[in-house]
Amino acid sequence: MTVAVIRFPGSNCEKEAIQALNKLSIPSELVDWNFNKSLDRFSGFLLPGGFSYQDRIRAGVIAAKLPLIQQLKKESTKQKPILGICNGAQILIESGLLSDGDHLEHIIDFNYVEQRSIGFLCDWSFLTPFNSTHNVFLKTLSENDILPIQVCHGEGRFIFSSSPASGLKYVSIDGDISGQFPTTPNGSTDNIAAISNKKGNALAIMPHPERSLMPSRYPFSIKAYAKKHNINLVDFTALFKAFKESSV
Amino acid sequence: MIILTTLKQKDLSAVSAQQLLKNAPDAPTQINRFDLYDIQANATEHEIIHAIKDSYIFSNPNKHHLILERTNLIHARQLFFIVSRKSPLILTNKVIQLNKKLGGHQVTAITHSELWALTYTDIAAIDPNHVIDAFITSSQTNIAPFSHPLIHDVAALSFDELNQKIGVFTGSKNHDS
Repeated sequence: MTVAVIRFPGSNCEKEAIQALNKLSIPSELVDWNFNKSLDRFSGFLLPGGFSYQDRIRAGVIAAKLPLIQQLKKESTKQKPILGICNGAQILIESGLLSDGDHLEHIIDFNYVEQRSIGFLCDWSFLTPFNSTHNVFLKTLSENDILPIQVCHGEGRFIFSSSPASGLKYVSIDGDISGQFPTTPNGSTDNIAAISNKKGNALAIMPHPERSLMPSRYPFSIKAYAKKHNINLVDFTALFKAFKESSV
Repeated sequence: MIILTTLKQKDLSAVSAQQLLKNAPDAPTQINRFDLYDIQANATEHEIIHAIKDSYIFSNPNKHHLILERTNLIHARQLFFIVSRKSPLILTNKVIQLNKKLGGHQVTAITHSELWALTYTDIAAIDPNHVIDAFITSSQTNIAPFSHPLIHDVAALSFDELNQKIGVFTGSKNHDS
């Protein structure tokens, strides 16, 4: 069985996503947006980051309406793991794949802090899981874990009508979850960086776990601070474990 | 007062929307996108329009149409949908720039909405509420891309209603300022 990495016109992180899966010896295959065969043979799905359809109208909305996403919704009912990263997360949210009712329960809007739009962010942040046992991607993480991660988006502010069942929140390197700017860099509601669907098989995450697998790539300042204060930083290998289990 | 701008070249958001909707029953034959700015100011309309025309604050004449009078870009075979944010954003930079042009602090707020014009061959047969449900406001089951129910409000307008709202097309100014 193989993980499908779904590429849309304007995706630009598919190679990093495949490299992350390769690093963990997870078989993967690049699938294009106009793929018209069944997705049944794939064991999981990864929607990478980028700017699908140039973010026209709203980020992710055009891709979310494609026939391939309707197929993906059917595969989701089989409890297959589905991970959307950055623009992939925006596509999942816009498609309603993470909403349970008939209505769209979430939106990812532009970065907005202290009543002003702050534009594109490119920085390191830290995440910690909540209700981690409810999501297949998070279940091996501890709720005290602090995971450094690259943030790279102009529209990453979660807004929702009902609180997510599980996910990841922005946190300081010391574990402070109060979440004021700049700990939460984009003004996201309740400091949310990633949300799960209620069934727990899908995760939409705005920062980039595929770029944050190797601690050797953490900035020196982060490594030095963690060493000085005896903070155990956790990488995102565990997040991809769901794919590994479904690929065996 | 309200002004409209639109790209001289085809707007790619409108192109994508048209491709997305083209196979749906009752789909519009053409889609056009406009930027709608609502300017709250204590200056006269003449002063504001002069300042706008004399600057690149809202439009670059090489790239945009600045719509201040009747134009064939807007016509009676179109149905119009204003997509505005539930929490309006004040475009502070444009307020500062326009006040600088006017030499004072007459402009108090500028907000932005998108105006989508959907063209139909038989507009009398079209129910605006059906269009909003099927083509404008996104849901789990439709292919509508233009507004999201959590962050946007949508208002449908006919050609006459748009003319009345904007005023500049008919000379019947209906401005708040």
